[in-house]
Amino acid sequence: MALEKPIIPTFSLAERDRRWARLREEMRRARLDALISLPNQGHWDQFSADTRYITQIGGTQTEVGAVLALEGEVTAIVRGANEIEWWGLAQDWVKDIRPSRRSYGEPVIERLKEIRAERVGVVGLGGLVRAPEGIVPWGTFEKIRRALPRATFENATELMQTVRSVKSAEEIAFIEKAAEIIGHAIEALIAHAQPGARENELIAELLREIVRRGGEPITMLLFGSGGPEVPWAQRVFTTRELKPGDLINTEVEGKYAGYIAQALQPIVLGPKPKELEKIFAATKVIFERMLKFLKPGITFGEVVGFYQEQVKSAGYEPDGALLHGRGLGEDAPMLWGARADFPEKNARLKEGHVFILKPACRQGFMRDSIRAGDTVAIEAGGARRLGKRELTFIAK
Amino acid sequence: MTELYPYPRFSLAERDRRWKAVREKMAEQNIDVIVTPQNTGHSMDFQANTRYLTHCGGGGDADIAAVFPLNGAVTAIATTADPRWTLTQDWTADVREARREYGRIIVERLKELKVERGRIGITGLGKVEGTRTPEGTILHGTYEKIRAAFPEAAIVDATPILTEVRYIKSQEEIDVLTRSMEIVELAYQAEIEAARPGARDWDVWAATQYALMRNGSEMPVHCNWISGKNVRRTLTRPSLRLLEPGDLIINEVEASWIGYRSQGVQPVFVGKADPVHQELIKVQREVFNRVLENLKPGVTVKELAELTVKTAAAAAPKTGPAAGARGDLNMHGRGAGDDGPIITAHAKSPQQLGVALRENMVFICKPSAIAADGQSLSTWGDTVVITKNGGKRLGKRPHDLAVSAG
Repeated sequence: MALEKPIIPTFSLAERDRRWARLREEMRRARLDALISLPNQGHWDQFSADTRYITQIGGTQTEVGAVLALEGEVTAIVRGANEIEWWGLAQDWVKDIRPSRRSYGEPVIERLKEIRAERVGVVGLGGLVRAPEGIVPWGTFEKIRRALPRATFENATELMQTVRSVKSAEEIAFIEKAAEIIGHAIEALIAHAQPGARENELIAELLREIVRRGGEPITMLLFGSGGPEVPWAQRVFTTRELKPGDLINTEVEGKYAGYIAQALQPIVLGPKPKELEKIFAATKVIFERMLKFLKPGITFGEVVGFYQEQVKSAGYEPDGALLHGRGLGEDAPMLWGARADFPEKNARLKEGHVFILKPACRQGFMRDSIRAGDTVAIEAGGARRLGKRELTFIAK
Repeated sequence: MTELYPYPRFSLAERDRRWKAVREKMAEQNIDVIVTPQNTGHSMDFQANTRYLTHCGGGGDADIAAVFPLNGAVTAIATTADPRWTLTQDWTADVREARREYGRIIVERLKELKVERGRIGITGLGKVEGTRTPEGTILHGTYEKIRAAFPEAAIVDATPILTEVRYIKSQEEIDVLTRSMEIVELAYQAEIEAARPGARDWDVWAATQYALMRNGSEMPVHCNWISGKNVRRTLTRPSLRLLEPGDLIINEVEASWIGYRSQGVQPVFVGKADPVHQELIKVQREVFNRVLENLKPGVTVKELAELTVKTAAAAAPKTGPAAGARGDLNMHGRGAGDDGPIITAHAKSPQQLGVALRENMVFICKPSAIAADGQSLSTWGDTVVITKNGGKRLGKRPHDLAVSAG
C-alpha cells in the first residue's frame, strides 16, 4: 500500500528556485562546481540548517546531507528507503534522494564524480557563530577527500551565511508563525506558573503548546527558577518546586518547519523586586527605541553604538548578546552588547534580515538578567516585531 | 559551597566504577588518554561517552568534550561551563570553559598531561565503526587541532573501549533505565487517550511529548512516529493529518532520565484494530517471549536473529491473515545513547551480530511479525535486561495492540 502524502508545512517552488539561483550566483563568483553539506543534527537540529535550506528536508533529528551542483539536479542524502519514500512525498523540491545507510561519504563521492566537480565548497567547515571549529564530521570529510584527490575543497560557510541571512517573504512568514507559536507557549507557561509547580512540568506545558500549534519539539527551551538573584536560564530541566517569590527566567524558541523565533519572558511569583522592575522597564524602552533605529543601510557598529549609548544614559552597563540572526539556525551575525570592536562592525543591515533583539541592562554583578526582547524583521521602512505579545515582566 | 541543582544524579561509587573499568582497558591497550569529542547530534546520543565519563550533559545544544587520562584529573570542556556544569554534578571538578573552541582546550589539557609522544585515544574517530556512526562523531576542525598539536603522538580510535565498558550496566544504571521505561509507558497512556478519530496526528504527538516531559524526561529524545492506514516504517515526526477510525500509529518512544534512554514500541489503533494485525500480534508475542527466554549470557545476536525466524515459522498459523507470517529481529543496546550492539532490518554487520550477550546488558527488543504478502507488519517492543535466567522486561504494560476509544 502506498504512503499517503504527509501534510507538513512546505515552501513554494518559486522559493526553491530563488534560493538555488542565489546560491549558484555566489558559487559562480567563488568558482565552485558544487556545494556539499554533511549531516549533523547537533544544537537542536540547527547544525542541519544548511542542508534544510537547500533541500527542505530535515528537522526532528533527521539525518540528511546534500550536494548542490552548479548545474543539474540537487541531491539529498538520507538514511534509507523509508526516508526516500516519505520525503519524496512530503516535499517537491528535490527528486534525487539517495540512501546512505549512515555512511554518508559514498553517496556524496558518487554525486561529485557524476558532476565531475573539481572545486567543492564545504558548508560548515569552520567559522560558524556557535561552532568555530565547524560542524563537518571528520570521518566523512576525510573519506571524500581521499576519494577525490584532484578536487580542491573550500570553506563555503560564509557563502551560505551570506545567502541565508537575507530572508524572503515566505521565510519571514514562517518565522512569524514560529513567533506566534512561542507566544502561545508563553501564555501556557504564565497560566501554569505557580508555587508548587515543578520546573519540568512548566517546560512540559511550553512544549505541549509548541507542538499542538504545529511547531517542532526539538527546540531551545532555556529555563531557570529561583531567587533572589535572577536564576540562570539553563538547559537542564530540574524537578525543583517553585516557591512564592521565585523568579522565572526564560529564553525559548518556537520552531515552524525549522524556522525559529525566540522570545524572553520573565515572571515573578509575587511582587516585582523594585530594582528588577526598573531594569526591565529600561530594557523595554531601549528595545522600542532600537526598533525605531534599525533600518536597512545602517551598520552593525552603529547598532551596537546606539544601544551602548542608550544603556549608559539609562544608568546601566551594556551586557550579554544584543542581537543575533534567526532563521533555520546558526544564523549570523552575533553581536555582543559590551563589545565595541567586532568583525561585522562595518557590515550593513539589509531588508530581509531577521534577528532576536534583546537589549540587556546590567547593574553590578548579575549572573543573568531579565530583559525585553523579541524577534524582529528588517523591512524597507524599518524594523518590525514578529511577535505580538506585550513585553511585560509578569507578576503572579 | 553552592547547592547543586535538584536533579537526579548517579553516586560517586558509580563514577569510580566507570573510571576504573575504562582505565583498566586503557592500560591494557597502552593508551595514555582518551578524548571524547563534543557532538550534540542524534538527540545527544553522539555525546554519550562524554556524559558517561563526566556526568555533564543534557539539553540539545550543550556541546561538551572530555579528556580522560589514565592517571590524573578528568576534564570536562564546555561553553558557559560555570555555572552550567558545576552545579549539576559532583563527579568532575575540572570543568573548563571552551568558548566553543573545544579543540583548543582539549589540546591545552593534553599538553598538561605531556602526551606529545604518547597514545591518544579518540572516541568516534571513524576508524572503527560506531553503532550508528560508521564515519565517527569527531568534527573536522576539532580533530585537525589535535593532530596539528601532537604530530608525534599515536592517535587511535578508542570507540571500542567505551562501547565495551558501556555494554554492561550497573544496578544504578538499570534503576535509571527502569525509571525511563516508566516514563515511556506514561507517555503511551497519554498517546492512547489522545488518539481519537478527528484528532490531529500532531496533537497526539504533543500529548505524548507532554507526558514525557511532565514525568521528568529530558529533551531532546528520540520519538519516531507515523500514522495512517497500515503504516509500516516510522519517521522522525508526525504530520498534520487528521486521524481516522482504523488508522494505525506506530512509534519508537524514548524517555531520557539523567540521559539514560529506555525505548518502547507500541502499535496504537484509532478506534478499532485491523484484523490482520490482531492475528499478527499473536505471532509477534510468541516470538518476543521466545527471544526473551533466550536473552542469556553467551548467546549471540546472530543466534537470536535465527531463533526469531524459526519461532515465527512455527508460530504462524496455517490459515487466516497471519498464515505464513515471518519473523525479523530488531534489537539494540539502550543506555546513555548510541548503545550497541545493534541488529535491525538494515544494520546487520558481522561485528555487531557476533557480539555475545552478557549479564546486565540492556536492549530494546522489538521483533516484528510480517504478513506473508509483506503488506502488514506488527512490531511491539520493550526494554529488557539480560539475566542468567533470561531477559527481564523493564516495562509493565500488556503485550498487545492498543486501541483508543472510538
